[in-house]
Amino acid sequence: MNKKNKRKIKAHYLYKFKKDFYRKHGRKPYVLLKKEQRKKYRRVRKKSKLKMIQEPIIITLPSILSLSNEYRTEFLDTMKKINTYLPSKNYKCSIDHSYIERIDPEALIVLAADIKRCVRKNKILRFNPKYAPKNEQVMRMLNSIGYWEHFNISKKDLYTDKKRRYLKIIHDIQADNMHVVELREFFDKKLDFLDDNDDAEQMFDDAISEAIANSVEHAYIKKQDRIIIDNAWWLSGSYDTTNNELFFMCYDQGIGVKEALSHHDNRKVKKWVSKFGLLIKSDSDVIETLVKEDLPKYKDTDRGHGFKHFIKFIENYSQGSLNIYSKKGVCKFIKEDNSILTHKHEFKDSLDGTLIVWKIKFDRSVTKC
Amino acid sequence: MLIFDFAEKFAKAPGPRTEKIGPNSGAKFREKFLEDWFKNNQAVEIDVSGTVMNFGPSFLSEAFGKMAKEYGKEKFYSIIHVKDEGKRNLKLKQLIDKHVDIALSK
Repeated sequence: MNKKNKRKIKAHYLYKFKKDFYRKHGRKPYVLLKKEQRKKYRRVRKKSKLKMIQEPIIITLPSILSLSNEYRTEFLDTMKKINTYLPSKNYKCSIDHSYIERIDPEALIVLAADIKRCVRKNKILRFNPKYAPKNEQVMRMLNSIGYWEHFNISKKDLYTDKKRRYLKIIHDIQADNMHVVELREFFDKKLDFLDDNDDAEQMFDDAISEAIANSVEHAYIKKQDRIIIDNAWWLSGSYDTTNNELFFMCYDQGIGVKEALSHHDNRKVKKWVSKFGLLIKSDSDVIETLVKEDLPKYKDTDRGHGFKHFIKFIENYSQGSLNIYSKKGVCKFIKEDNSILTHKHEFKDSLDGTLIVWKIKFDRSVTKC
Repeated sequence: MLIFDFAEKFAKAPGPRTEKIGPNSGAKFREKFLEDWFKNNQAVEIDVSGTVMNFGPSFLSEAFGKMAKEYGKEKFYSIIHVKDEGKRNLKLKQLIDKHVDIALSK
């Protein structure tokens, strides 16, 4: 084909394109507009874009943030609102912390994780003093636990909690055991909580590392119908030298313990799961079974004892508790005077993922001089 | 006998079971070091006094348990030795013995 014919065909197709475009949109294609016409077109597009962003949404956090029976529903309803509006490009969203009077650390880690996943890609968070906590104790707690830093918000004048020390929230997507060392060294600086006991140290390391490894290995599946940060887990801890107590917790936003079992690909585990009828049991029953019953051993390794490691650490101390929250269930194992009591509860509403909380109360001062 | 400083040559904190889960895993240690030692019949004395964390059950079973199962107890202990000094070394020795027994009991 010679050059003349090629030019004719090109001109014909260009003519056809302009004609079709004008019929469809009622105007010339942007590329073919003159300079002044382009400016006008850009102004019109900007205005119509701004119209899309509606009135800013203000999500007010309740006065008490807690996962306990009375306050759980209100807390989870607020989480749903955050999940709906915060990730959306169409809304300007603010989270009002000013009415908070009390936050339980468990609820705080869930809140921080939820906000983090919602603003992962497209939004930058800013600190607005108008919506900051008015309660001084709450503010000190958020400062101490690294709440603002978790969202990359740099804030001056960070007054921290003097009574209670917090390890700043640790967040990762890999089971890096240096974080376990970080948590242990945080406690070890001021407390003699391991009492020079090698077994207690081993149990502490095993409990946390198994919890983190479980989150990365089992909690997340490929297709989930909500926003997640794949393999993400959060870790924090705190101690109070006046009350001689410490706690630490590990949280993931996965599918929960029961559903993770149903997705397991090992034949022996599937057999064991059906033997105990775990898929028809409630979430709290499943947690109890995993902690107390002997899991099947895999073909060539001694896998499947992760949950048992969680409770072994508590058994070292005279007073302690292990609370495992997963979806609608919570299972609490309370150590008192050489025996472990189990309390289970099922809720109507579901918490995303699994939260494991260890608490130890010492009957004497363990503060290092 | 080759002396292997675990903290210097591998990691200060032993990791989880596999690299998919996290860094410095038992699987990586087995593939990078243990398999070579066993193939070459190289006796090794492992020193973990520089580590900052205890060895977890997942790491031990994936690394040492699997080698014991493949080569047998006698060969395993002819290759793998743990230094006699230090708390962490003594603890590791106990844990390796435990996981070798578990692996061989299957």
